[in-house]
Amino acid sequence: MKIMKNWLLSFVIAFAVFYAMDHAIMSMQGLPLNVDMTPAQ
Amino acid sequence: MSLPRSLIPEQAEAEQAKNRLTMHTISALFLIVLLSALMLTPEFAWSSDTAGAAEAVENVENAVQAEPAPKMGPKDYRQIGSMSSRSFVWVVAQLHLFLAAFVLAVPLFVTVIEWIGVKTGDQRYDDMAHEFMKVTMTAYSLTALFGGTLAFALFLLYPTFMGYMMEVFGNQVMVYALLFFLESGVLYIYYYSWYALRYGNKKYIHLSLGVLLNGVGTTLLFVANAWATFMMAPSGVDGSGAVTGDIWAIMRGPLWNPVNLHRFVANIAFGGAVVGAYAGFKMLSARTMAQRAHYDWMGYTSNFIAVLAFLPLPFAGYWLMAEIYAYSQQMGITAMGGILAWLFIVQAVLIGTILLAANYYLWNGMSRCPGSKRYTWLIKYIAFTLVVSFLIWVTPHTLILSAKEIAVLGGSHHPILGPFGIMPAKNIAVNLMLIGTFLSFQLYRRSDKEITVAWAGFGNALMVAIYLIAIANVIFLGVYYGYFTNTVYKVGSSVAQVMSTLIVIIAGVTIDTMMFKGARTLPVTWGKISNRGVYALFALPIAFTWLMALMGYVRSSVRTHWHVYTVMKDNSVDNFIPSIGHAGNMMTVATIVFLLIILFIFWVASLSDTRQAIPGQKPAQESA
Repeated sequence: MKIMKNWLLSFVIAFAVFYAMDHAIMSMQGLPLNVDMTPAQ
Repeated sequence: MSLPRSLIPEQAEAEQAKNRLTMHTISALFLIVLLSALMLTPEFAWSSDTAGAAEAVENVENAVQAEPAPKMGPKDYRQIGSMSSRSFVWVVAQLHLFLAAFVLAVPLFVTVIEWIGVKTGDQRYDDMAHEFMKVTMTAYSLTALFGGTLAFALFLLYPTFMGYMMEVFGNQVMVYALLFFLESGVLYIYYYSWYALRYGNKKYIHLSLGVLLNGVGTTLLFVANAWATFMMAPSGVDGSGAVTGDIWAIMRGPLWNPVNLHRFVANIAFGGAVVGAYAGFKMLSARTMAQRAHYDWMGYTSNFIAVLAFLPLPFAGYWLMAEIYAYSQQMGITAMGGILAWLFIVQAVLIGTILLAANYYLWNGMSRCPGSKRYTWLIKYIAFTLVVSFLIWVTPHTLILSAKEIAVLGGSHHPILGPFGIMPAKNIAVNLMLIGTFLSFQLYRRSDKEITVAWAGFGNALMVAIYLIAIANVIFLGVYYGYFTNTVYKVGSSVAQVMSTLIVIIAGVTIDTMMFKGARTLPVTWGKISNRGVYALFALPIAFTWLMALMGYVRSSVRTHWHVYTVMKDNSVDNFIPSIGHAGNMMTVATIVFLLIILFIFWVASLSDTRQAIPGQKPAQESA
């Protein structure tokens, strides 16, 4: 159970970091994204 | 800060407290001397906020302000016999740059290694740092000789152009000369005082000399870079080439800092690769196991330095190219969309060679430690990723085809391989190769450790998750924004790809550093590496040297038919971009000559260890 929790938590953290980074980097360049990562108009 | 006991004889320890203040004062004085030298030079930009210096700058400006760049004619160019002046200057400048890159880079990591020796108390670091410097000393004289030859050649063959450059840069060139004197003096003191300033507080004086040496060396590099970047993107002058700004405005062109960063990082990677070859050369010729072990460790350290500096280099390159495009789209397109674009395919081959060789060396090096068996199953996947990425990176977009071949192919682009020829595919490939290389490094570093922290399971899971999501992110950004959205998103997402790779590297170093606390160290047998693995240490400097020649040529050629872009036209017989074949031959000649020089340097460095046997006695053993 603990092992499962470790893996789940790790993937959630990693996903959140990269997702936030993608939004931040694109927004900084004036290229905002929608939640589903499509270019916002 | 306490000094390692193994490096402190008892007498030095007793004097430590008494002399501490004096030693630190003396160390600081070296830095003050350097700064004073720079600030007291009237033409130097960083002193322009002082009234006297500003006035001096203004006077020189007024003197040259009305003078536009000369219009060049046949009388402004000279030749030695029938030899092409461009070819001669090309090879000499390239050799000077190779050697200068080497001698400026090695002291940078030598000082760090020396510092590690002080911190850890392991005398092997100190010996290794000293041996690296020994190799550099011969190269230093040769750098100066080629620098002098280059200066003479430029003034002889391009007198009017050099006259204009002197007019623009004025006394700044004398600052360069002053720095060169300083560099020479400090270098000789640093090297020859190694054993005189080895223990106790005297070691700190020696380390301060190292810092001073690197401060002067890096400043030299930046000053010289200003000349090259002024020719590419002139600043501080008007459209006619007449000087309108002070020396700071002239130096601080749009490409100065990108070139400064790129050359600084590249020099470290290059220097590491060259000394790695020295270690490989010494290891293969070692006669005892102790020698073999010593040079194996030295080779590993060199490779570590070279690859660690190499990993961020593509990002510095991207910044430079982005600034080139921002300065002049025409210049950017000449570099990456015109005739020079083909050289970027060659660049891909060379960088791919470097990464494959570096990884191959690391994989072979894992055999030094039985603990590596836990990770060797991953090597085949890394190798597969590297090879596939390498093949994608070298796939050209537009092929050179005959009409018949185009008809057979159904167009100028291959229906399946065509999409691999554009930047999104190459961005994915480069980032995956860098992530794969970092993974090899991380596995190597973990090979001799057994992690004992309580949260090891979570730490490992987090590291795996970061790798997998970073890889998925790099591929998603490349494919989705590269092929299914417009160009602005394609370019924008490449930054996020780079950040993904950087996150992997930073997270990997941070998590490992935390996890290694209290880790059990497993045995490592230095010298236990196959000779094939050591040959990779020779592949690295050869590929690095060629790469520097190649990309240096591209950087210089983007000026096309201008000596100073848009300001001073090149009206010589060589005012055109040569064919790729000719350029390739020139780079290859420079590379081969440099490698011969390096072999000479290695031989001279080894010669100092050789002792002739006393007549009538058995030959003495060669020292390590």
